[in-house]
Amino acid sequence: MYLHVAWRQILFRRRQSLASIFSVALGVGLFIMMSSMQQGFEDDFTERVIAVTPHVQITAERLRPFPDMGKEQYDLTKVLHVQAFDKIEIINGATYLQNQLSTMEGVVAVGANYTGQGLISYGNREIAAIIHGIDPEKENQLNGFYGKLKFGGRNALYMTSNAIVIGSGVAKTFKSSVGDTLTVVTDIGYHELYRVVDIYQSGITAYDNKTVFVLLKNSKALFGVDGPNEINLKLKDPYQAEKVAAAVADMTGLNVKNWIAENANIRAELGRRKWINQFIVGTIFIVAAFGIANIMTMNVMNKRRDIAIMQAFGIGAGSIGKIYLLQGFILGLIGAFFGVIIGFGLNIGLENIPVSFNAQLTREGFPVAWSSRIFLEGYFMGLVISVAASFFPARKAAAILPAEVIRRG
Amino acid sequence: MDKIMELQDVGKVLLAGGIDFTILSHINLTFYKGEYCAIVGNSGSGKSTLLYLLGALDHPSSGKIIIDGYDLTAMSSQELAKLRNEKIGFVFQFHYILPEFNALENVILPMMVAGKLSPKAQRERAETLLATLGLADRMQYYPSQLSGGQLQRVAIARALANEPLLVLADEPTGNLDSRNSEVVFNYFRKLNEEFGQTFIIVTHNTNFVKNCDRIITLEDGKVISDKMAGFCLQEGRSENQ
Amino acid sequence: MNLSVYIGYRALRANYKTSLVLVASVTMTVAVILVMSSLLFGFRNEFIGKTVNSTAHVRITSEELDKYAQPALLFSDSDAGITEIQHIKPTQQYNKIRNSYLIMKELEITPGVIAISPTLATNVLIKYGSIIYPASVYGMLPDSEDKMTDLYSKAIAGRVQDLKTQDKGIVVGKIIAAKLGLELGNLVKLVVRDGSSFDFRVVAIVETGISSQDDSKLWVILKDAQILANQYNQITDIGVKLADYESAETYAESFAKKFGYKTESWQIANSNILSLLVIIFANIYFVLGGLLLAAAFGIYNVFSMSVIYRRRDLAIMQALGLTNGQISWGFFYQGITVGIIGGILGLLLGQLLIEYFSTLTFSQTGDNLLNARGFVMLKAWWLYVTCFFTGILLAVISASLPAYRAGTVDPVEVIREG
Repeated sequence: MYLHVAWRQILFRRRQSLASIFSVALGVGLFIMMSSMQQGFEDDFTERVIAVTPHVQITAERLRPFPDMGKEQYDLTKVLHVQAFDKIEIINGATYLQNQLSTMEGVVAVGANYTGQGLISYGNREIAAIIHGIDPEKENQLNGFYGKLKFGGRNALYMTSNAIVIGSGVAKTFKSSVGDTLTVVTDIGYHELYRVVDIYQSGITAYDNKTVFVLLKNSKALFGVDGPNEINLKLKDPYQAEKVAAAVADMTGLNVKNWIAENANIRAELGRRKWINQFIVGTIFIVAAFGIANIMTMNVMNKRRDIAIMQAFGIGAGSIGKIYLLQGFILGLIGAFFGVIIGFGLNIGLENIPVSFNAQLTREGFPVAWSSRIFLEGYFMGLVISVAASFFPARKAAAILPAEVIRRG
Repeated sequence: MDKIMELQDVGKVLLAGGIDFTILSHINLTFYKGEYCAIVGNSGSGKSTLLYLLGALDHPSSGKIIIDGYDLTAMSSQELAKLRNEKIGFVFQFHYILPEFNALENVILPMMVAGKLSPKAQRERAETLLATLGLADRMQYYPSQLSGGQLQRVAIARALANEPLLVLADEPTGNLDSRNSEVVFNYFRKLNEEFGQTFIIVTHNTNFVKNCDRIITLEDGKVISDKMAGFCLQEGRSENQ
Repeated sequence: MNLSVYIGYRALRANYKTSLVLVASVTMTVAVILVMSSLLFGFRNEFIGKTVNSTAHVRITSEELDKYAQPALLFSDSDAGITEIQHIKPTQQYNKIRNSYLIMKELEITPGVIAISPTLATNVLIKYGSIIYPASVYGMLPDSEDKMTDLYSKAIAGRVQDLKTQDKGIVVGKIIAAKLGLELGNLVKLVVRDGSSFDFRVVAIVETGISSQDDSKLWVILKDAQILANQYNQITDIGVKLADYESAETYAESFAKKFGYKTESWQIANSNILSLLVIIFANIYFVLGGLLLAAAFGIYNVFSMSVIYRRRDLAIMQALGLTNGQISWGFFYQGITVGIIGGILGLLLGQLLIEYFSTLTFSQTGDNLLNARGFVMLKAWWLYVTCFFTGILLAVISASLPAYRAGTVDPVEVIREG
């Protein structure tokens, strides 16, 4: 019975009902758009970061002199000009460690690299780059190395001695490509020619601008070391990285990093943006709720006589209130549905806008997350807002005293 | 005869602009099943207020009202609503037909609230009522398509939908022309005689009053005369019959 | 009092709860727009401010405009065959600006130019202890550079001026210093492209406020950079500071034409970030537009319904002799009042939020573009004025159609309806 009355009342005042429906739809649509975009940025970023950052990384000790070094042992009052030792560390027992780690729960792939800094020059330009000495097969297991190569050469690095794969940004700076010969220089004065065998693109501009790959065995000559200085792990569930890192640190007593902690500041930035988005969308919902509440209240005020007569033939005050709440519910149901459609459309629009984010990522169009969770959330919010907005008018309707109204004529 | 309603020392005070207005005071009345009463009095005498109290649309400020054994003052608003739905039928001067529903649906509404009959039965009963009132060919019409007189008849059909014990009418023909008024009163009388429903009607229409079994006269919020078929049930100021 | 204003005001008061909600809608809308604009423009202005303060407005590079064409290509259109040139080996010779002395003399007398800084840049590895880090060395003349980018005042430890006195002195950015654990007086090694390394002593640590600089730039005396790059008496760039940084593009163009080298205005140099800013702005204002729409809609509906439900009142007003215009204006004034009150309250609420946002600090810093510690909010008079008028326009425009309709009610029709 309630449904019948509520529905008829909605139909009767068509324009106002449409207005309420539109308000809800707008709020829901914008909510979905912003949430999808926000989530899209997060997901996209996370995906790319995970693609180039090892989930868990064990690194060799890096020595860093600190100011009060030796103060205690030698009972000094002041320490001046601490000189730094040249000491390069590698991970001892790397092979054994790798075998052990590969059997750990949740670990899907293990690889050992030597990563160092070098100056790459070509013609009259030089770039300071990060040089990864890798085992290509292991690297591919860890993060799909082969898939990121432009010319897809699986054996590229084996094709010639002194082969190098350069990041796309590096290639662009040098205006060079496969076949060119570059000069590599490291801090121990190593100075040799390398031949470009392929080009690598991860999609993160900062990374592609200064990363190059060589075979691990070259690091002996390049950096004067005889072993890897980092062991990388790929996990089944990247979000377990912190836990696994802690476990590995316990087990080995070495420095262990994880991608979540390393990127904390960017995630904080994303978190802030999320907060701002929610703030704006929250306001839209509130304003929409105001609109609905107003419309409904005006309706109630103008239907006082009808409400009074309904009470007269036996619809109790509580029931009257329920009828209006039901109206809010129905309007929300319909409005949120249209909101979902609007959100869908806005998402597609965003994805296809020809903008580029080359400052941080190589992509065209906004990254949009297509998450059923977001759509459901949006729908639900629209419904809740609509019902909440009808709460006050419903109360007002229920408070109408029939005698009062009828007396006034 | 069964006693269906009793008012014990009922009074009603209204607050307006900070001043108390005593609309009714010391009303004592008893009504029996099957009665056909008129309540008369000048404007401001409190007749409508009395009617609303009788119909459980309003609460007395003092005193008790008992309908069919139920003490109104002790009932919750939900219980009162149920009472109104099942036992009381109200007809006002203005029709108050809901604009969102057509004539038939308006009459069915109280039956839906009661929920006792099947939808088919509800529909049939509504059709019968409307037909009796001469609206057989207008049942699907919406209020915007009906005249004032027709709407008042729909309102009457609606009031009778749940076969109420008690039918209360507040100047039901105030907005109707004389021909329609006659139709309405004849119909009321017929129902009263055929089905034994009790009618209490507030009216100015002297023709109609003459046809009633019982005439209650109010003045300044008090019953000054309560005459039935020539007998005086109460005395106040004497008046010509 | 003007009759329209009177009836408009009374109407608002009579339905004060509805009016309150209307005002609230305007208030919230204005507040949010104010806060978001303050945030966005604050960020933008801060970024631009820092950028034009710590980098050159126009940079004259050593890339020549008219590169010599490859001789073989001259024949590529002939029918003799297909010409494709592969693996063009670039010359080893370093790019440099020829006639730099003359160019600088010319710049000195160019109106609008207030500082010139000749520089040589080269990429190196910086090493301290066992930590190696990529960086770019920026060789300059301290006083010229300071005139251009206010470098001396950006020191947070030591003095940049000491570069003049300290042999092989180096100034490092805050982020590099943190990553390497550097302090004043430390000796660092710089490794150059031919493999040789040079020792430099840290004389100052600076914070320019732009992460990309503080994370990779090393300042040294020009002659030391020339030694590092093995390019004696050469420079690779000339930085120019202008009186009006907005006009950088025009100057860049004229310099390029005049001197024959590729030039870069600061806008182009930062185009990535600037275009990112544009995208963010567009995005947020799109949504704010949605907010305005929702609010406008709500207000429009209230007034619209008002007119419909009060048809009898309007008819009576006409019967009393009010003109259509007066009735319309009555509604219009309601709109204006709601707009003004809502606007003022919105500014107040917005200001409160701005103050609150200003006090928030980030727990994680670094790696965001500005290396900022908190939200940078702009408080400019034009911001407040614009938002205030937005609020008024919102209410007024939403009310205008119903207001017009109010004046066109036909009294006879209404009375006939009963």
